[in-house]
Amino acid sequence: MAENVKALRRRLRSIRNTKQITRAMEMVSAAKLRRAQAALMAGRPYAAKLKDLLSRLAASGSVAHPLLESRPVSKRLLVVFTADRGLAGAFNAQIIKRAEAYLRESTVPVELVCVGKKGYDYFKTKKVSIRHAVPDLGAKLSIARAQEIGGLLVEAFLAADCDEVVLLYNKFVSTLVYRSEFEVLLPLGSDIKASAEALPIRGSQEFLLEPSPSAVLVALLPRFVSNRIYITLAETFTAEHSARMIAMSGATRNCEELTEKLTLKMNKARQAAITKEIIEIVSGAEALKA
Amino acid sequence: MAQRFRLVVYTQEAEVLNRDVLSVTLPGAEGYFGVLAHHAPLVAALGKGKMVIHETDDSVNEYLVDGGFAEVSQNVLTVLADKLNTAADLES
Repeated sequence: MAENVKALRRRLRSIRNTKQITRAMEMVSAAKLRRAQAALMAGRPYAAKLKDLLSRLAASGSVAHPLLESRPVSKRLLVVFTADRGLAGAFNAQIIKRAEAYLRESTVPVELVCVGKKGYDYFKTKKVSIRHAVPDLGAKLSIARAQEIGGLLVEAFLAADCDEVVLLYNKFVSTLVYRSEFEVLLPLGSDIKASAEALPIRGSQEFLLEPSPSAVLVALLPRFVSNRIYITLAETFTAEHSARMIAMSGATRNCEELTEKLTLKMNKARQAAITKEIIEIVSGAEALKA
Repeated sequence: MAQRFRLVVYTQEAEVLNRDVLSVTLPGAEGYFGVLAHHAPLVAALGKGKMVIHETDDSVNEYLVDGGFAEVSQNVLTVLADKLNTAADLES
């Protein structure tokens, strides 16, 4: 291709600059990942305890609440969690792809709630109904945000604007692995009842419920929903930083490989140019002698 | 010698307290109640008010809570607080 030494040198400079940027982004993402992961781990005990309380109430049998009611599904609400920024490898693309497949395969109409700019930017130009969007997450995990989103979903479900609320988000598995998952948020119930059955029978523990079983339930349920969203956001952020770190690490490595290859090419071109010049000079001299 | 039990306080963000105490007074939804060692199993909804902790060294610590839940089980009091502040936090 380019015998042109100047062109190759220019390309090499550009790649070297790119590498500096990707390496910086990799390190920044690694730091953010550590913090996000810590936040996720720190939030898990509360979530587990809340689920525990709800399961125990469910096990005691005295639970009836509209949020627990499953009814025939004639409309769905899909909450799509993406990042605000790109350069995160397959992170956003995977979510969008699975969301589209879900929309296509659903036998009932589906409305979207877009959390995160990337998902919103994609779907706002498509022929889908977006009920609500949170396009600016600001990369900060906030309880208020989780409550805002949770409240909206509960409202939609109770008003029968939808019969099922499903979350689609990337779950953090490890530093190198994240996985997209669908989770049914509303109606609450299936996973609660399952963990109710799994509860160890602690002697004959009859719990006092204050002020009353139904008051506790009424207080628990909305908190449970907003906490689920909080944890989902925590997972999403953690997975996002891990995805970006992986992507930038790969990009950096590609830059290194390209640098090697192009350096070789450049040196070969440089030597070829020198050889050509020598030949020209020598043959010129020979011609003069003759 | 008063008996001690474990108090664990969580907010959605993190664990805030995890230590043995002598007694805890909490603002229930319908009034204050106290928890001592070996309290009967309980799940209570919390309202807004002061959480008063008598520590094992006989000191007293107060926190402000605004909503949440308290569970007593197996001699452990677990508080899930919506908001938790020390009086100092609020004065600033």
